[in-house]
Amino acid sequence: MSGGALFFMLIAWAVIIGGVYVTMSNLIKYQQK
Amino acid sequence: MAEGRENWGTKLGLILAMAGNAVGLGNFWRFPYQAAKNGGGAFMLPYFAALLILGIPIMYVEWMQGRYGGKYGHGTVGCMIYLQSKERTSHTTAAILGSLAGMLVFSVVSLVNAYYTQIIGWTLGYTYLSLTGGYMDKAVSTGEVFVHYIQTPGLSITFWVLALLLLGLALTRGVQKGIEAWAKVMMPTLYVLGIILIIRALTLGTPVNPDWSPIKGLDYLWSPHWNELNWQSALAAAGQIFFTLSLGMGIIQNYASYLKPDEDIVLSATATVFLNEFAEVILGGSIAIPIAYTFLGTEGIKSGVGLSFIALPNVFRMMPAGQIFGAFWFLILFFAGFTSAIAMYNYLIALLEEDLNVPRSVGSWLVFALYIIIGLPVALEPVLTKTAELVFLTELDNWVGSYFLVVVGFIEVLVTGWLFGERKSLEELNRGSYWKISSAFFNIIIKWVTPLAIAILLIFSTKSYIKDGYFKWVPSFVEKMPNLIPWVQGARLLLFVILVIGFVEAYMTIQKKYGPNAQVKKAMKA
Repeated sequence: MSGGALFFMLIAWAVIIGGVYVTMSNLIKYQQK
Repeated sequence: MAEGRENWGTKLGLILAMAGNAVGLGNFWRFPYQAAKNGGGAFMLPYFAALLILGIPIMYVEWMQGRYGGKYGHGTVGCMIYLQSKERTSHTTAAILGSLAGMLVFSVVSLVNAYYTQIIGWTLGYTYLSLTGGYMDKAVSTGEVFVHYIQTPGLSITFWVLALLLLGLALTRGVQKGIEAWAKVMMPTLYVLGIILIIRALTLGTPVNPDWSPIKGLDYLWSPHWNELNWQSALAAAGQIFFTLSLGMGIIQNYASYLKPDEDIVLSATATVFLNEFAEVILGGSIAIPIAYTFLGTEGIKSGVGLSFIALPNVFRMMPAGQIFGAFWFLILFFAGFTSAIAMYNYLIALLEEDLNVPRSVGSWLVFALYIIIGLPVALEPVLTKTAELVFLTELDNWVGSYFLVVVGFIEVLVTGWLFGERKSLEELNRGSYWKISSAFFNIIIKWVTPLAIAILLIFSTKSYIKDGYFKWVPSFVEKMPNLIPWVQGARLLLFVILVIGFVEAYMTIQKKYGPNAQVKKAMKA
């Protein structure tokens, strides 16, 4: 896999997995309050 | 204020139902196709830009409009737009704006779902064919299998009606026991099956050609082609964001109308967006293309829409345990489609319940009958004409499934940004929300950037529609098929009738609930 392709795929995956993690963990945190 | 209106049972149920609403068939076949066609990895730049300036702000606006409307007992868009517009315009102007939005949304939920449920029927039928080896005979091409499928009423109509029956049955049980209960089962299953298929896809090796591997498929999808990054790819990205998040369809508002008046909006809406993106970019981008590339090379992935029903069955024939993985693939598509179709179906039930006082148990079967009647031409076209062009579906999809979504989105943000206004919008968005929207975000993004971006999208889409001949009396795509022209004209006639019904229904409801006579009645009661 070329460097460019790997770079874009990993960036996109990181943004999305990060977004899912931050939003879902915050929802759990606020729900427990 | 509305009394006795149903609410979501749990936060998890709400998030999964909303994610199910957004995650649809397009996540799995449309995204990889659009990305590969419009610059590969470079497509992600306009894609994420469109997510930030269109997707997330419109998602907030729709959640807010829905919860606001639900407070007054409305699950339909006409009355929601009316109530928000009324803040700064006359009753008549607000009623016209509400009726226009209500009309367009009515056409979307009735016509789009009439053909969308048929595609869901195909996915159900293909799950059955996968398990029974219905397309495993290598002597018959998968293209022929598909044409035979849509031209055989015993298959296409049976599975379509079965899908509609399942939707109808689920919806007679209401929001919590119907929509929410099904979303809690289907959405986690969809993600689990998706991850299983990704692992299978990436461990396929090179069974056919040493140059064809799943990693090369990913490379094909993600390699940035900067020369292909232009206005067209930016527009494709913006269109994809509208499509994938189910924006401009009225169904996000409908689900949000079942929120409690002080329930979180901002964080829940953002979570929905990211869950949808997970299904689209990670699952959608890592299953179909790597599998198709491994077995068929670049030719296999150029088939666009045919990827799911023609190219991939070809692959499942060759794969070890292909019948099982084929069933997994079509089941994922079925779950994705089902959880979106249920939202469109529910919109019409809410309309019958709230505007015409029809009980849900009756409304559910009335909508079932409506979908059968207006969906029948889509199902019968291939059977009667012995073609597989599906022009009736294409004509409806060009307008109702694509263009109208952008128009509705435009009305929504203009009404929120300029008529409902900053103070009321922020108050409504932030009440009960765990994350807050700032005044700057509202004034810069929702008021200016998003409407301008939609306006640009609308102008360029219109230009492209004119160029492609969609505005012509006989659209270019059907010019060389004279026997199919009546089907396109029939689709247009149906669209016209539905638009008229949609406008009249929305206008009469607004007048009944908020018109001069309603005011007099309220005063007399007081």
